[in-house]
Amino acid sequence: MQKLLNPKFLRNLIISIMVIGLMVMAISGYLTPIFSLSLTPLIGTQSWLAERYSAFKDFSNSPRDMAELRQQNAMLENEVAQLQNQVVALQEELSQSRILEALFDFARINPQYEYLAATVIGREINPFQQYVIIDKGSNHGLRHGMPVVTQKGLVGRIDRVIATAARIQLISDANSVVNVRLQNAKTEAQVDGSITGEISLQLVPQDVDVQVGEVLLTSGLGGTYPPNFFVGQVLTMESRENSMFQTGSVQPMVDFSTLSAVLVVTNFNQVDIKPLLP
Amino acid sequence: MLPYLVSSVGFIIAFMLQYGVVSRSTMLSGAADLLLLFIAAWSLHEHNKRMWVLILIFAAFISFVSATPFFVSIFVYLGIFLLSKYLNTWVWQTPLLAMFLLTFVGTLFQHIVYLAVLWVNQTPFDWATAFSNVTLPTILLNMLLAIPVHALVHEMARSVYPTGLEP
Repeated sequence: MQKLLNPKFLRNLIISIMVIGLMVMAISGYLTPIFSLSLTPLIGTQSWLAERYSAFKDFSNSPRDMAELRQQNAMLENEVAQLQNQVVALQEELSQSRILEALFDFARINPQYEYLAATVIGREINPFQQYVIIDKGSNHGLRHGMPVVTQKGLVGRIDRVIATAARIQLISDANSVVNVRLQNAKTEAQVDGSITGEISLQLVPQDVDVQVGEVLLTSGLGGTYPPNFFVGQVLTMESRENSMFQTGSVQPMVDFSTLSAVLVVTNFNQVDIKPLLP
Repeated sequence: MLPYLVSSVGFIIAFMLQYGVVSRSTMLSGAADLLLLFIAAWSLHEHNKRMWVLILIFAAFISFVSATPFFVSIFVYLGIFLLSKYLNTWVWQTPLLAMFLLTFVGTLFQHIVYLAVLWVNQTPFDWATAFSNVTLPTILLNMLLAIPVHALVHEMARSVYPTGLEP
């Protein structure tokens, strides 16, 4: 009993009870306002200190970070440039493959002819003449007079050949003449080129009713071109009272200004009828 | 030797650009003639008095590829060379003016020759259409390209010939 009444023991007991009481109160949340009140200035101070520390750290590290960022930026820009180049190259390939696909589709639709694909590599220097140069020549089996087409229609014929290249006279050339038949009007006529590259319909009989939009196909007459290749569509017709024939302007099927790839019909033999002419 | 080498390289570059790019870039039916401009600009340089030999070779080369008769290109480009020598005698102090004048007159001369050949060959054409749709746009394009071509050729000439000997 004496031991229990010992002042030292009592002091320790009271302190323990107070500590346990404080712990119970803290756990129960009764001391939260007191803690908050006491921590507020500490948090403010800590925040101020942390901000200053971060600012100092950023300031001390910024040259290194900037250099790294610049390097990364340069690398990324380089990567973007490479990817852009790849995109452009792929778009080019896609465009080329689409053209070739269209050409092969055309070849499949017209299986009676043998075709050789060629790329247009140049255009005639004389603006009064409509010729293009392709990258295939006699080494590839090309010969003078072979017809040249695209998936859209007739382009022209081979005018001159060397070993690795050939020159094509377009149907829009002033010296070009194509015998055609009008698909709906069931009559034959002639398509002439001009020095400006426009093509016109000639020798249409006056009694034939030709509608705008009429499709022109090669007739095969004269033996220069094989029959049934698209040439163009009638844009306008002109009929004069004192003239024997009607004339008209024609929209060619092929856009000669953007011609990039063609098909040469390699198994068509041009017929030379000049000796038969009077 | 160096001037001939440089002019040959310049001609080949102009030839490739002409057939691959310039001839495809048309205004109406006209297209610039880079070879004419190169020959004009190079001929205006007074050191190139024996340039006619090279022009003869170049023109023969063009004739081989072109659909125009063989002699036409030779005649046209040699004519432009002679015209440049004539212009050098009285407008040599203002080379750019001489270049413009030579481009204008040279293009007209070239087209008159081309049309004359077509007329001789009985190719049907209308003179007015030829002038308005082909010749006028060609002159305009040639005049536009004359400035950069002249500047480039002038710089080439400066690198080939020693300083102080230029016109």
